[in-house]
This record gives sequence, C-alpha cells and structure tokens, in this order.
Amino acid sequence: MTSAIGQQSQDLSDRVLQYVTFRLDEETYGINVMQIQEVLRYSEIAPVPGAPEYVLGIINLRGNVVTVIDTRTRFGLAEASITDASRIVVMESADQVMGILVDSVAEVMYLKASEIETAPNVGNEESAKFIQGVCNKDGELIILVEFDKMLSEHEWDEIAAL
Amino acid sequence: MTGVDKLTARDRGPVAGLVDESFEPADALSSYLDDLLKTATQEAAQEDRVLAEEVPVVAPAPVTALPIPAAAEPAALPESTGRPDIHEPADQPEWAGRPFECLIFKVAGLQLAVPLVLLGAIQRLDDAVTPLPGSPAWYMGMLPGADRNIRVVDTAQWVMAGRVPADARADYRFVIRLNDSEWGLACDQVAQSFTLRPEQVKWRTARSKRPWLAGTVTSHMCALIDVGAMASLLSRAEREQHLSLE
Repeated sequence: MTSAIGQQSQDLSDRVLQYVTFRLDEETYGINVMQIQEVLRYSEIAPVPGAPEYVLGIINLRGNVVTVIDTRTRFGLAEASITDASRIVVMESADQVMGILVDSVAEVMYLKASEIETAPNVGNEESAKFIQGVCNKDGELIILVEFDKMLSEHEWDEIAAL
Repeated sequence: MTGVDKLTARDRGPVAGLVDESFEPADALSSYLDDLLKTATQEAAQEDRVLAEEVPVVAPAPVTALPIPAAAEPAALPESTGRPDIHEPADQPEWAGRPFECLIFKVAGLQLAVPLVLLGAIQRLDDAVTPLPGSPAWYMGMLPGADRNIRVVDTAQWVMAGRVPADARADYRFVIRLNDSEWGLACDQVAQSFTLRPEQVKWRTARSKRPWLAGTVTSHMCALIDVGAMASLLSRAEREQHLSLE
C-alpha cells in the first residue's frame, strides 16, 4: 500500500500531493501519504505506566513495539469511544515509528500544492505548529497535519525513552 | 420589543457591570450597550470640555497686531458656529465624511452596524465552520467561501468579552465578511440597512479601549464598527497568537 500510494506526481505547473484523510470529531484531517506506513484496525492498546497523557499506550506490530498517540487529546478534543471504524495510523518520522488513533480513515486524496492555504496561526504554539494548512475540497475544508510537528522535540525524546 | 429596547426601561445603575449566575443575558447585553453608549457620550463630553477650555488659548490675536496688506481683500474668517463641531474628530473614518449606508446585524442580542461600503459579503453559516485544533475561544474556525475561505470570529467573544451569554454561539446563522479581508464576524441575524448622517454618530476619538468601535448610534441603539480597525486587530491577534482577549 505504501508504495502504491506513496508516490507524488509532479505537474509542470503545479505539484500534486497525495494525502490520506481521516476523521476526528466530525472534521476531516489529511496527512501526506509519504509519512504513512500502514493503517491498522483497532487492536488492544497496552497502557504504559508513567507515560505522558498524550500517549495511549503501545501495540505489538509484528514483533515491533509501536507507541500510540491519543490524537484527540493532542487536538484538544473530547474523548470518544472506540468503534468499528476506529483505526490506528502507523507513521514514520525521522527514525521513529508511531501510531495515532483516529475515528476513521476516509480516503486518499489528490491535492494540488496551490490548493493548500496557510492555516490561521491563532492557536497555541503546539497546534499552530502541526497544522500545515487547509484545503477546500468540494466545499469541505480538509485540515492538513504535519505529522513531524505533532510532538515537540522534547516529546519525541520522551516517546523514544518509553 | 427587542432585548436592546428593553434597556431603556431598566434600572441601569445598580446592575451595571454585574456578571453572576442570576444575571440574565438580556441584562448583560443591556449593561454592555449601556457601557458603550456611556463611553461614547463621556468621551464626547470630555472632548467638549477640553475644547471649551482651549478656546481662549486659540482665540485670535487683536486685529491691530496683524499685518494687513493695504490692497488685500479682507481675510475670510472661518464661519463660527459658536462651538467646535465635536462630531468630526480628526480620526473619524474616511467613509464617514458624508451620509453613508449601514447594515445592522445582531450578535447575542447586541446590535452592531457596519457601513455597507466596507461590507465584503454575507454568508450563511449552516454548520460548515471547520474548527482548528487549539484555537482560542474567539476563533470559531474556517468557513469555505465561493472565492476564499473565511476565518470566522465568535463576535460575542470578541466584542462582549466577559459578558457573553452561555449559548451565544448556538444562535449564529450568518457571517459578515469585513471588507476584502479574510475575516468574518458571526452573527445571529442580519437586520435592516439605513442611511446615517455623520452627526448622528457619537464618534469615538480615544480608542485605547475597544479600538474596533467607531462610535455609537443612539437613534438605532447600535454600535458602529470600524471595519478597518477590526480587521487589523484580528490580523494582529493572529500574528501575535492572542489566545485570550484580556
């Protein structure tokens, strides 16, 4: 899947990017497919004692331990129960693999770079960093998230130490 | 009778400025608009006093002291109305030099007005606002527009900070875009438009507090928004990441 969707095509005039969209609390978010390793059905997440509040726990992915982030907490949203549509999106950043729990995964979307609008920078520092921009797709706004910036350097270190 | 109309019938003194659990939204609104009108009136009166005190200082020197060219026409004296015109302060917006059309819109019962010449667009809200994670309370999110996405402001949070009725956001139905900016003000209702003469407005000159308020219109019981100042404030809030309005 990664190789199939992890390609960027380039137009002479405007670069086309592929984003995987996911839903959280009725809103649609997008992450560049190049950062996504795989999408998993929800499986039991083992809590880690003493982990920061934004960490839900860890899962065993074919013998590898993957830390799962509580995306709702990170995005300042209320807790929600797990459903059949819940997914863990496993992503790779720098030298770390991490999962994020989302309400559902929607589709792979093609966006032109020119369609991406810089997001307002009104939020607190952390959220302002990880919102890459917004894109109006068929009348619906997609919030594009920069996975690398979902955690601060300190938090990445914290996760690495778990 | 609107909530604003009720203001005139209420005993304002003892309740002005109070905000507590038992304080009805209508009372908060009345008190707030009362404040706005009082502020503008006090400023006008204060300016009146200051100008009155200044009159002797700027009184023309005795005519005998002026060099008058022999062949010159008599110098035209400025027409005097007996007192300076307090309705035309130096910082009165440019568009207010002559009668102008205004549109009234309502936010949590408060009546606000924008000059039509600076009204960018009116768009239905229809639950389509996309909130962004980590946004402050005054920022509702983004609304897809025909030609651009609009950054929607919770107007009550912005203009009535500290006195916002609990369910104000649920009543928003429209967004008023400020001129050609990216910012829009959420409102409950768009009411009538009307023509204002500059002298009908109590213009504010001291803008240290509520710089977005151009003045108040007592005949329509509404606050007139300085669209340019409001858009600048919002842009600055974004640039400087103001999470609260305190």
